[in-house]
Amino acid sequence: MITTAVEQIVSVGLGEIHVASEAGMVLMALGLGSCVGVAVYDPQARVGGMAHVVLPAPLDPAAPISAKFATVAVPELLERVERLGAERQRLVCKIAGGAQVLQTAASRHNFRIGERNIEAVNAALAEVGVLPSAQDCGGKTGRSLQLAIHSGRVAVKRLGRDWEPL
Amino acid sequence: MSTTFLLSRPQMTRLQGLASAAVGEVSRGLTEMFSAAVAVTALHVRVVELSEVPSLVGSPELEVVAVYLIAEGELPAQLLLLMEYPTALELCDILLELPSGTTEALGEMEESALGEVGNIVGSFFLNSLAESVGVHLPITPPTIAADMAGAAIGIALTEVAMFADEAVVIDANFEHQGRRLPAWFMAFPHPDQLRAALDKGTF
Repeated sequence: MITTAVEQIVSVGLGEIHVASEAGMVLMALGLGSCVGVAVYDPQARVGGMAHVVLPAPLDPAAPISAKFATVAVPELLERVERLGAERQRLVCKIAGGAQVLQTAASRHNFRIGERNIEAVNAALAEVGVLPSAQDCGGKTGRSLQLAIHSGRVAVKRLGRDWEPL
Repeated sequence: MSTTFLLSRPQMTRLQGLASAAVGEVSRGLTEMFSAAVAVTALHVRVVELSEVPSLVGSPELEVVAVYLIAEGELPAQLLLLMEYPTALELCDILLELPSGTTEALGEMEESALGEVGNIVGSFFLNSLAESVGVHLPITPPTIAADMAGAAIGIALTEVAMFADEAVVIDANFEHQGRRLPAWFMAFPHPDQLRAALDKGTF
């Protein structure tokens, strides 16, 4: 754990976004495989948020809006932290995930899905003018991502290892 | 936010019946394979929010070995056999006829043995389903990964996630000679084709 004052751990599940301004809160995306976790934090406002991106973009642009897609999750995450008082130009962004968990994939939508998720998240962040200052992406194994709201510290954990700062 | 595709009550009832018969066949297949009573228990057929699916096995950070198969054809589905890492090693000992505690890591031979377990589970399940529904359901060769449960389940969910914010989940546990194993079978059928098959009413 990267904080000694945790009051509440909030799990950010597949396709979810959580934002927080309460000092004791820690946001966690657990077991990210091909999914990408996006953490943003405003150190001045002490406001942060996390998105758990599952897929790059909907096949049908007219499909219902869902935060499981990078194209939706990234702008929505920013909008929600801004509503809590964050300012875009102060945001620190870090991302993790996008592993190629399986070495073969026979289905259409998980072909190179980790890699495509990383590309889509980076493109969506570039679109809104927020570039990640650090990322732990790719590889072959899953990881977890956490963001402590009181400090803005972001950490990543891989299977069988402890949390390491990102 | 949800693009809910809840199954109707009659559809759910039909699916329950099909899944129940199919896991009975899986029990038969595994019992033959291990020459010991292996039962598939605690069958659930449910509609679950995508965000909640990884928690069905406990923690998404649980270290598991996942055998991943894909059913193709008229009723596509993603199938997963998950087992806690020590259980996977234990199964390798049994399958490779080694003294208990011999297997300490997964190499090519061990992965092949576990893939064969996945094949039995997947093919017995799908054959039963295919026979009941009257369709052909070819299955891909197994792919194996040792990782966090959340990572393994997440990749299996990408196919249904493209179309819905919820998944139809068929999941069950295993018992070996009366002892519950920390292992799970999960199937995520493709929503549209599943509803079409269930609405045929030919079974």
